[in-house]
Amino acid sequence: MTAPSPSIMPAKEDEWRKFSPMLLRDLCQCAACIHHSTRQKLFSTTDIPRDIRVQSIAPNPTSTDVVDILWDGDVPGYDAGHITSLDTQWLRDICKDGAIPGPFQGRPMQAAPWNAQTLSPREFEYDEYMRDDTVLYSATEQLQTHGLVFITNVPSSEKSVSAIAERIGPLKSTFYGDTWDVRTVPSAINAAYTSSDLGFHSDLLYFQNPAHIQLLHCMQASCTGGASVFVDAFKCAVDLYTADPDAFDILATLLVNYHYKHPDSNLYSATKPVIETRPNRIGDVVYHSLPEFLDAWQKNREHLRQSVGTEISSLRVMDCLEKINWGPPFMAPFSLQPESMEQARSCATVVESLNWKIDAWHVAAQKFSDLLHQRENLYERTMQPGDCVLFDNTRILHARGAFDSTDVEKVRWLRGTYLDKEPFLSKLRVLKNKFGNVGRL
Amino acid sequence: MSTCIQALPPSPGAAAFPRVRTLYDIGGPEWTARKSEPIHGLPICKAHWQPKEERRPPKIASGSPSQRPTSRAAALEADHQRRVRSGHFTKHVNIVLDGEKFQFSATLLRDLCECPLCVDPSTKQKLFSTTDIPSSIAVRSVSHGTDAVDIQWSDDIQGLPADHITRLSTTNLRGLVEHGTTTPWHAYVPAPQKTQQAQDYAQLTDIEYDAYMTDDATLGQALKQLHTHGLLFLRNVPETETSVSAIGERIGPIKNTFYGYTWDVRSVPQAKNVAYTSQDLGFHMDLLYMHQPPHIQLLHCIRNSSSGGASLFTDSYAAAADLLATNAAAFISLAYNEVNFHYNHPSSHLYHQSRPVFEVPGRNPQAFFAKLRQSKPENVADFIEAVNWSPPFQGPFSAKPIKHRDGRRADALGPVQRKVNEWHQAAKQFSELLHRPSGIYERLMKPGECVIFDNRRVLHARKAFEPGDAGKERWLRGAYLDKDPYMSKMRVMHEAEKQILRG
Repeated sequence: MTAPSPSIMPAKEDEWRKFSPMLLRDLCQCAACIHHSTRQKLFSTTDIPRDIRVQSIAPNPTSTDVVDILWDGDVPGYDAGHITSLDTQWLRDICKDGAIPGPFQGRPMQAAPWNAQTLSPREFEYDEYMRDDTVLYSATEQLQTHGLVFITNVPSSEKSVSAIAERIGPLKSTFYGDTWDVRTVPSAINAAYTSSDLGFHSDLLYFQNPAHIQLLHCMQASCTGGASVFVDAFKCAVDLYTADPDAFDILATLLVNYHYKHPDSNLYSATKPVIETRPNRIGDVVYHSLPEFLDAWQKNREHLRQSVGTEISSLRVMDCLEKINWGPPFMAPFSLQPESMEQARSCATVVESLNWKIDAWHVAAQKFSDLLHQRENLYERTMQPGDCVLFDNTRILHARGAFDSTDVEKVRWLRGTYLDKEPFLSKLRVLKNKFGNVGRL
Repeated sequence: MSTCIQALPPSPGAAAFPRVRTLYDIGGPEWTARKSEPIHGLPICKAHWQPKEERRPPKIASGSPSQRPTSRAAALEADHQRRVRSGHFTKHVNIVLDGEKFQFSATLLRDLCECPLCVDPSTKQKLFSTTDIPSSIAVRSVSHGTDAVDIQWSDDIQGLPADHITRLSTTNLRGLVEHGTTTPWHAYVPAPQKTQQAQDYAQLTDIEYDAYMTDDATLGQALKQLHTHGLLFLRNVPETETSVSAIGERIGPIKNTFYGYTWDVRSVPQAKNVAYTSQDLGFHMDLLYMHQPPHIQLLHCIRNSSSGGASLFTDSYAAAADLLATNAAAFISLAYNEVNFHYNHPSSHLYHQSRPVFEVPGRNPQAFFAKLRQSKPENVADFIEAVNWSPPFQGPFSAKPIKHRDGRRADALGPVQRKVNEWHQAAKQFSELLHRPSGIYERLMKPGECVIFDNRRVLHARKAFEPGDAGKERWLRGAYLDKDPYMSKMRVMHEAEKQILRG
């Protein structure tokens, strides 16, 4: 057990709270503890002796909201004059929210589900996007909340798409290159046929860490057809949850395989569920089912509000979704998890388990596929030269609509690139920091 | 550094058959630039799927970890009761393998078809979606050959010719029955990882740069060593700035970060990273504040300092294994408690990630812990997937406010305090194990040497050094690689080796 903790009274509430010396010492931001230019910690938490004690706490002479702490048994190498000055607001925030304030705390921008009617995607002028940070902020914010943004009047240079991407962060380089080209030439009509599947997919599903943002810059589109079609797969997943929670559960639990199978050059594979949810954990309890988790979350929220006055956000199904991994062309054959194999008693059991797996998945996936293809969910836009679309590759599915009969032999040329998640979030935080959260959360 | 590649060339036989599938040639280079056949109008959307008339309360199994020490995905797969309740979905196909009769789901076998109508011969992409398979699909005929089984279907996917045959090799079917998979290459790993002490690392031989760059067998060996030992050194590396990217790209595309594709480690005033100073740098891993930290780190020594600056390496897996053996509670505490890592420069980059010190296999840590309590793991890979240790980049502790189950008043401060104290206790023990002299491999990097190591396993540190006179400073160049390209290269090398062995 740690030594008796000191008591510090947060100025507002008339309540004494006991803070662990370990916690307080770890928070020290002085020049000997945090490097002045790198901002890295100059000591390790584990350097703090277990029996560190507070020698004295006193209000800081120059600032009323700050307390100065002196230590007994401090980290080796620090002298007796080492002062830890802490903002009392930090202490109050820890009591209320479990964390000090800062750019990494606070409620993240909530994703807003959309369909063709409710979506009016923001368009941004290329010049403004490149020049003006407030425009960049709006664009990245929209990308976070809606997952889809268009930039117009993009110069027809091959460098444009990387310029647009690098305005946000470093490109994600893959075996396709830093940037890549897609060229299509529609041929003569062969036969009329219909299909219920538009070809919706995400890119790089066979990566353990797929790209977060995909950019597509239209260089040439002399055809009139070949519209780009987008759907908010998060919204469809929420709809599935409402209509058939069992199907949702199947898609969120059973793991499927994706692969890129070129044995001479690239062999990528990844195993993941179609619906990837955020970790369902409250305290030390992990919930296996989403309804139970949401229920427990709500109870926790009410209880916290009543007893401590802490406000935590309410949670929708939408907020629990991490990624949608949907890409029929890249699916690899179904297989059993190694753990299932360990438990299987015989080959017959293996076959039985596999049969059940694909059949159950098949039924649930057809329902999800139907939702993805409902007309009202589809947002269609014919990309023109000078258009660049940016979308969340883990949420928005994209496909291409029909070509016109007059499109035969006309070229359609797009250039694309990817961004990873962390550079994107970093940019969003930096911009949010710069322009403040006035009126926005 | 921008290279553009053309999309893949059109595949020759693709346009011969009337196609049911839409031809995906939108965004993404993986879509071939085939001559696309137009689709008339938007697809016919099926009637809005109606929810069930009577909605019973959803029954979703929430297996308790203590009864079922396995991930939920596996539990679902093995759930015999659920299978019995739900009945069969699609028709069954009787196949005889080595005299034994098996009943396969028609959907399962239809999904495995690899004929040119179903899998594009050049891109290897499936030309149909699993969901295209009608629920009413049934088998019209099965004929068993010596090496394969041919199946013809009734109620097949729309648009396919009546003589469509699905040919399944008996090798694949046997793989399915015995191993639960037809694609064992997904799970390929070379020999098991073994924890390393300083003397083990000292005994490794350096690999010649030329051989690494030109000889595939040497590359294969290097990649395997990276997996099993986590550390390797190249020697006689040319003293140019481009060497480190050449070495990295021999494996796969380099990971691009805000540090650049490649970066220099030199002593710099007003440094943004303590690596760019001449200070002592404790054991750490790079970029743990990224969503996916780099898997491989490369450091090429161009010039070393006039004095000091030795590199230190240690295998964190060895310390983790010892911690598990001596104090399982501390191990579990470090696998369970998440700590914050950040790169905190508000005007330029704000990166943040919460992760535990030990990342354990599987998607269900609780089930994993229950399993751990029941049986001692044999291989280190059974209980460690990655280690996260980087004190200089740790952010302030935080914890979500919770309502206590034992009726105590809910609060926000309690969880944070508890986490700090519990984590400190466990981490201090781990840190002591990490710093045992027997585990620390010290090596003064010489010009022409390049170290390559597993950034999620091997901790690196650097002793203080004399910054040196202008123009003569210690200078290393570095690069990173992600896990995906690294695993891909290992698999490709392995397949190539198998080919050679087959002759």
